[in-house]
Amino acid sequence: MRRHFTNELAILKRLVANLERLNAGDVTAPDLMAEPVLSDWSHRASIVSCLEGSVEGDPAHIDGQEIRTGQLFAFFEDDGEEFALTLDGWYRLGFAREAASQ
Amino acid sequence: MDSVKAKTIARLERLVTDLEHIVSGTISVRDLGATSVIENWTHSLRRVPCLAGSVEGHPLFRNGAAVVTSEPYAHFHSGDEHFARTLSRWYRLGSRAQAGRFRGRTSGAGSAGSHLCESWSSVMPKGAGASEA
Repeated sequence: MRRHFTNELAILKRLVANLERLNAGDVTAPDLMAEPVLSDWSHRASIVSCLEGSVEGDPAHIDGQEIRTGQLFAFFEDDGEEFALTLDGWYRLGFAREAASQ
Repeated sequence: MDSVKAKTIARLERLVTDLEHIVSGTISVRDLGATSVIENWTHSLRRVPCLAGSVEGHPLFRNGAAVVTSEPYAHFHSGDEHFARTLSRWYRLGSRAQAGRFRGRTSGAGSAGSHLCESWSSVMPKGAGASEA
């Protein structure tokens, strides 16, 4: 599990560093000419995992609102509480939806 | 840096920090006390954008291989050269497929510009990164 996170961490760190350089105006075309070329390209969609449920205590939503989180990255359990780390941030997990009600 | 870009990068930096704490075992429930609660929750899926095309010069794929990238985060152009920064790497964009269109806007009327893609709300295909083109 930690090895998996380590790999994701390296990818995310490179991404952040690249975006910061880009925003700082430090990227030039010659820097990127050796990158792989994508030809005959088009936009597509892919699927990532997330959670959905009823949110409480989120300043961006009214209590009880049904939401779908950003991409799910990790679960963490401590002291009897379960948490999920998503691209939106942390959520504490309440009761899970019954399979029969899905 | 405008606020949208700063927000995007800040959110990614927070995610990096949180994952670092998980990896190092230094995260505790006390750090997460004010977290929002999600009730009646279940696993689900969401659609995220990606690019598809034919790749050349990729360390993991033969030239001409059809690939699907991870989510694009930024676009940079200089003159006629266009580049996309996906989650995993930069790509130099060659010819566009007929009917394809890069949805990001290019900034300004100058010879070079960049922007972060609007649709950034999820990052990578499940378990991806290493397997991404």
